[in-house]
Amino acid sequence: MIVVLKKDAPELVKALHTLGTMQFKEPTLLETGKIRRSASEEQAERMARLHIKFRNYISMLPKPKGSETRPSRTLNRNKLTAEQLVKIAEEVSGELDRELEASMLKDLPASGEKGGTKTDTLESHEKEIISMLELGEAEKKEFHELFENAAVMLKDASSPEARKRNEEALERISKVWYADVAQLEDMLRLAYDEEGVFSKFGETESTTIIEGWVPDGDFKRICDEIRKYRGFPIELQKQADERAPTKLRNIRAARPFEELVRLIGVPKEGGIDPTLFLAITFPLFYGVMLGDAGYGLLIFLTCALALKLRWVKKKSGMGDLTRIIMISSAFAIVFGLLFGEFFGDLGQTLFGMKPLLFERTQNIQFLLIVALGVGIAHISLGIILGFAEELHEKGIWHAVCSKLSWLVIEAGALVLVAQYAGLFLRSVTKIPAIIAIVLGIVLLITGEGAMGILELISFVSNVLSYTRLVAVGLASAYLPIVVNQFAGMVWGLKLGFVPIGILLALLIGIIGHGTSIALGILASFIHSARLHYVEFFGKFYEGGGETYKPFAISGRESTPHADASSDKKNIEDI
Amino acid sequence: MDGLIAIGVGIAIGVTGIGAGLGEAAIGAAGIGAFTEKDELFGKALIMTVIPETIVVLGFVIAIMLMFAK
Repeated sequence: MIVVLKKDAPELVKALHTLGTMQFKEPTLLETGKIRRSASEEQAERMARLHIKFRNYISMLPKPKGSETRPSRTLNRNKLTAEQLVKIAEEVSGELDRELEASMLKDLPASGEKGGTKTDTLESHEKEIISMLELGEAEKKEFHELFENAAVMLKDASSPEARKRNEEALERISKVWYADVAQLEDMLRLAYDEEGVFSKFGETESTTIIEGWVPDGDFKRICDEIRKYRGFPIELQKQADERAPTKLRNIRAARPFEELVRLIGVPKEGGIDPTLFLAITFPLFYGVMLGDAGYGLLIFLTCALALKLRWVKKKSGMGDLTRIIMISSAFAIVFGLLFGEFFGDLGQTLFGMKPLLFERTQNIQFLLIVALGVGIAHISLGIILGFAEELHEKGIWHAVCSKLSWLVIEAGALVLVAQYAGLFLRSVTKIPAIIAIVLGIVLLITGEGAMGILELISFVSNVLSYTRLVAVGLASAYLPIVVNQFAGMVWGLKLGFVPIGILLALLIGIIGHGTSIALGILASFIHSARLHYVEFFGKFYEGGGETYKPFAISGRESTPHADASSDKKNIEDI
Repeated sequence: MDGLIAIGVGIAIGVTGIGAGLGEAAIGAAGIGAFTEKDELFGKALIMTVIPETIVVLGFVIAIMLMFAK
C-alpha cells in the first residue's frame, strides 16, 4: 500500500507506469468507507475524446514515404502534466483541423455539378428536420455536425479528380504533421491510461492511496521509486484469503512454453510450475507425430522467417506459439531422419534415403507398445508430481493414499504383466506383486473412497490415450506417400510434345503436401497439447491462478478501464 | 488381408469417428460461445472439445488388433 499526497500522485503513477512491474488492486480499506474512490472524470473525458480524435488523424493521414520525419518539438512525457498535454494536443488538433478544412474543401466541385446537387439537397434536408423537431441550441449544433460529416463523406464520393486532389492534399499535410500527430497520439494514449487507473485508487482529503502487487525481485526498486516522489510505501502483509497474481519464471529456453500454461490457467500460489516439463515432452510428442524431416525443415524455416521479418510480434502470444512450433519442428526433423521420411517416400525415391532407425509403416505393433510405455512413464511422472503437491498441501498420509497408491498398483501390475510375457523367470515375484496390487487398491480406497475403483478404469483409458502418438504418426506418415503416388501417376502424361504431366504432378504435389503439412501441424500440436493438458496435468495440476498483468506500457493496446461511474454511486450513498 | 477383416476395421474407425463427431459438435458449439464472451476460456474450451477423441483412439487400437490378428 502506498500513501502519497494528492498533488504528487499523477507523477508517481507516471513513474510506476514506466517501471511497469506493479499490478494495481482495489484498496482493502475501501470497504470500511474510510476512503473515497478517486474520480477525475472530466479530465479523463477530455483526454479520451482527444485520443480518439488523434487516432482518427492517424488513420486518415497516409504515412509519409521515405525517411521518418521528426516531430517539430520532442515532448518529454515525464516533464509534462496531464493539463499541459491536453492543452498542447488541443492546440495542435485545432491547427490541423483548420488546415484540413482549408485544403480539402477548396478542391471540390461547385454546386451545380453532380456533387454539388447532393450537398444542396442535404442542406435543405437539414433545415427541414431542424424546423420540424424544434431543437434546442445544443442539439441543433449536434445535428449540424452530423450533417456536416455526411456532407464531407458525400464530397469524398464526388468526381475522381476531386478525390485525387484530396489525396494529394492529405499527403502534403501528413508530411508536415504526421510525426507530431503520432507522438501526441502515443502520449495521449499513455496519459489516458494513467488517468483511468485512478479509478482503482482510494483517497482521503489530502492523500491518495494506492495498493497493488509487485514481484519479489522488484520490490526494493519500487520502494525507492516511491520515496523519490514523496510517497510512503507501507508494506501491508497479504491477507490470509488473498491470492496474488502469478508470474511464471523459467529459463529462457522454456519461456515460450509458458504460453501453453497460460492457455489453461496459471497455477495459484504454491502450485507446481509445469513449464519445464512441458518444454521437454511437448516437442518430443510433436516430433514423433509429425515425424517428417522435409516438413519439419519447411516449418522451421517459415517460423524463423516469421520471427525475423516481424510478421508476428516477438513478445505476443502468437510469437510464443511460433517459437513453440519452431522448437517442435526441430524435433520433427530429428524423428524424420530416424524414420527415413522426407516428404513421405520422396526422400527414398529421389536420393535413396534410408531410415536411421526403422520405417514407421512397417513396425506398427512395436511402436504401439513403445507408445504405451511412454504413456505409463509420463503418467507416472505426473503422479510423482502430484504426490509432491499433495505432500505440500495436505500432508503425508493423504499424499500416500491418493498418489503413492497408484505407483504401488502400477509396480505390482507391471511385474505381473512381465511375468506373463515371459520376461521374469522367477515365480517368487508373483506373490509380492499381487500383495502390492491389493495394498495399493486398499490405500486408494482409504484415501479417495469408493470412487477410487472408477479411477482405476480411467487410468487404463489414460494410458491407452497415448496410442494416439502412433495413430496420428501413421496418418502423418501415410498421407505424403499417397500424395506422392498421385503425383507419380500423372508424371508421364504428355500432350504431343508438351510434358504437362510434370506440371500436373508439381501442382498435385504442392497442393497435396500443403494440405498434409497443415493437417500435420494442427493435429500434432493439438494432440500433444491434449495429452499434456488432460492426461499429464490431470494427475497433479490445479491451475486457478490469476495471470500477472502489471500496469505497464505495452504495444498498441490501452489497459482496460474499470467502470468507475457505477461504483462511485454506491460509495457516495454511504 | 481378408475382406471381412477390412470391413471390420472400417466399421471400427468409421463408427467411432461418427460418435466422437456427434459428441464434439455440441461441446465445440458451447465452447465457442463461452470463449467469445471471455477470452481466457479458450484453452479450457479447446481441451473440452478434444476430449471425445479418446473414443476414436480406442477404435484405432481395435482396428490395429484386427489387422494383425493371426
